[in-house]
Amino acid sequence: MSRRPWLRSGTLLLLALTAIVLGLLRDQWMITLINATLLCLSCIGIQ
Amino acid sequence: MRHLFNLLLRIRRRPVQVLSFLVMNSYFTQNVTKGLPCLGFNCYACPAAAFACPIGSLQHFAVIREIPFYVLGVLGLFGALWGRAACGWLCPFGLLQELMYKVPLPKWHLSARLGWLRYAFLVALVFAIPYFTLEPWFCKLCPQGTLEAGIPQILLHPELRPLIGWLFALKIVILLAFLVWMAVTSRPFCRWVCPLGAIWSPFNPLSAVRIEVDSETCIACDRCQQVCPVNIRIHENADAAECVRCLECVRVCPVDCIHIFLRHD
Repeated sequence: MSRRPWLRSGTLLLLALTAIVLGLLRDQWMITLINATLLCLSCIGIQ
Repeated sequence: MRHLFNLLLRIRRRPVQVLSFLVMNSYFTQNVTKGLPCLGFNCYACPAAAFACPIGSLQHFAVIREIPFYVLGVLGLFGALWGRAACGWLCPFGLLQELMYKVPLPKWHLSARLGWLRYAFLVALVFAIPYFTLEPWFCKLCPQGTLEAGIPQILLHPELRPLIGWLFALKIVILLAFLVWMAVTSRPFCRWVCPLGAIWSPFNPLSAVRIEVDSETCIACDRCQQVCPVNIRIHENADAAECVRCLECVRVCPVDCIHIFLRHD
């Protein structure tokens, strides 16, 4: 067992939070929202 | 913190899974919440879907050739907190697989030897092929998409019916094949196919909330493996990538040697 067992999970949490902030700054929330809202017909098997 | 975990063990998993399915498909909140990736496999083309499918979103970012910081960040945040627990507690497709496995048919127990396949599906169908073909190919084959979106959309919109082609037929065949497989093998999609599980699997040994087995107390009775939905021997590897953190093993252990703990405990 590492002497700082929380270090790896703590680092991962920080990395994840950084990625979220970076994504928000690049308007990726809006891109996700628009992509999820528009119905992709070919994705549901309609050609 | 241990009191909190003891409380968690008293919560029944099935109602949580059903509630999660209802929240993910709560329809009326979709104008506000559909920009958030859900913590489970739930198609955003479902008429009632309230959240974005993380796998569909990742493919879309591959298609527009942008690094998906936001989606990976959300998935990484929860992975860093509790590993693959969302697979065991929140995923609607996990719930469907567990319900299908209750169908009284002869069971087919398979080893997890080909578990790496889900990483191959993740890399090929979610990142590489969409990046090069500009088409979300995992969505086109996804059985959950057929069940939650393809069939309901066809039923709700008769004008789409003349447009049905070979791809829809292929999707139906894939869905039927998985439904049969789910009835004879426990959680086959999670173990061999799910790209969302592939993203969360590496977090199991690194997450803040973890499982440990006291090897001195363990009597290797394999009671844990009998109730495990992904058929692993948790006493051999408590950080197994297949573990969906459902905690059924913790509940049934006759000598109480399996514990959940927070990393700084």
